[in-house]
Amino acid sequence: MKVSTQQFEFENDRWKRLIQFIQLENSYYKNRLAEVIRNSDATPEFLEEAEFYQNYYILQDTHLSLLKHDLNNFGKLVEEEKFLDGTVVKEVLNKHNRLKREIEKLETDFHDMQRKFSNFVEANT
Amino acid sequence: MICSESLAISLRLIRRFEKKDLLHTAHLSSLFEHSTEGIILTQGKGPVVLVNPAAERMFGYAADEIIGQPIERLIPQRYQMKHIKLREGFYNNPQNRVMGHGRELYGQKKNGVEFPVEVSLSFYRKNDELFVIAFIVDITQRKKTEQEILQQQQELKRMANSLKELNRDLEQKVEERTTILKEALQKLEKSQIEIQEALEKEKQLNEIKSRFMSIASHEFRTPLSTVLSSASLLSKYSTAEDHAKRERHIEKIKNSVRSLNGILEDFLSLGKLEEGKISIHVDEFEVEDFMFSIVEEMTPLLKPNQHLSVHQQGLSKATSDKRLIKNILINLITNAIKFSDEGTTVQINVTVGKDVISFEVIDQGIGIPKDEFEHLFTSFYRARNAVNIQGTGLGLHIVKRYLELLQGDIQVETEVGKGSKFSIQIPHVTD
Repeated sequence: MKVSTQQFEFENDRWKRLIQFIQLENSYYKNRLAEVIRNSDATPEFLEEAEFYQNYYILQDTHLSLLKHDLNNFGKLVEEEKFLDGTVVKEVLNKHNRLKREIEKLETDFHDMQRKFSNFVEANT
Repeated sequence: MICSESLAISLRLIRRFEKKDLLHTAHLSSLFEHSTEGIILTQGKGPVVLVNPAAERMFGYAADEIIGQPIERLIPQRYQMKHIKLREGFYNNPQNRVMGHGRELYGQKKNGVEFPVEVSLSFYRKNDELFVIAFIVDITQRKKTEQEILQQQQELKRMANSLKELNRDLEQKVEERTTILKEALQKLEKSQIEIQEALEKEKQLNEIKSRFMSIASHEFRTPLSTVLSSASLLSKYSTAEDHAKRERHIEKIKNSVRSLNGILEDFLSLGKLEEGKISIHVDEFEVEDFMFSIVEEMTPLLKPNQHLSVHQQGLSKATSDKRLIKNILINLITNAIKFSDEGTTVQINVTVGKDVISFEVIDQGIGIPKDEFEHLFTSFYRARNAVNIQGTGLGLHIVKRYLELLQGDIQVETEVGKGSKFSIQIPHVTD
């Protein structure tokens, strides 16, 4: 089966931009967290929650870098597909579907955590 | 009658013969008189007998001035003696000689002017006397033309030689110029290559600058924001009991600085840095020291009376990406501590084989429901029995991904309420 690679390339680029955006957002949130901590009363409950958010963002950073790595490899695979005329199409489709699920989960989790973190900041400023 | 007829015929014949003889003599006389070639008749011993008008004009003598004179009078003095000998030789052995045969001959005019001639000789005898007829052609004009041709030929030859020389000079000059040109071209090519290289370097430098800007604006922010948030938390832990937490944040800061350093090193070792690529950094390391640092980092997380126990066997050194393995173990141990109660022990077994490094992280925690195994390593997944415990759902996913990068493997044995055992195998990496 011959599949047009254009859509894959388009999605891959969009996902890369999304990851870059979330990476930047993570950095802003960590910086914002630092400000909130600096101005807080530092109760044990507050600090425990602050630790959670920091851990979350650090793990999310790692997760994003792994996703970026995957997108990079996916981009190469799509590039190969252009020349191999459909021979890797199954692999491309599988990887595309897996990445799509990952990105969807990432977006959901990102918005969810964004909301939670805003509530946390609001409650502590 | 017959006689008279015969006589008449004879008389007619005689008249005809006489007439014919007379005609012949007149022709011969005209030939002699009007010939353009000089004709001189000499007696065998030398005196000139007869001279035609052409010969008179040629030598500038009137016939009576030359008739009776030796033929040598018409020859330049320097040849006269030789000519006498030649004439005597001819007299003894007369032979006809055609014109233009052999030697160069010269005549001498009455006024002493020499001129080149061509002479043919023929002879006859009359009354036992040898007569020699000389036909003489003045070849002054021909000689002059020949001379001119010769001069022209010589001139041509000289010109040809000059041309040859000129050509040789020209060829030499061309060769010299070609060599100079070749050298200049080589220099030009060299300088072109140098310019090209300089341009490439300039381009690379610009690319590096652009990438640096990109890295500075994106990649550096991540570790820097971790440093900032850890530093803020660090400043809030001021009591002695908080020492472990302070240590943990110092460790996070250190890791972030290492990460910054890594990005910088990748950046400085041109070309290594590829957007979004996770590189494997292989090192040989002492496993005991490595495990000690992990235990040290994990100890602050332990709950009251929780213990970390490490058992190591096999070889003392391993070769792999220490940083990634540390991340894997920290995630697994963090989970083991988090999902176990106070007073329990987290057991870590390490076996360093010849080809593979094996780790086991065994806890006495809440365990994982078997029907959730399928999703255990997917991102943002949290087991049903863990939803009340704060977590991100990313730890095990990251563990799995790092193991993939190291070509490693992971297995889980677990029983809800009793605990879990995570076994991982990582091959030694030889780069």
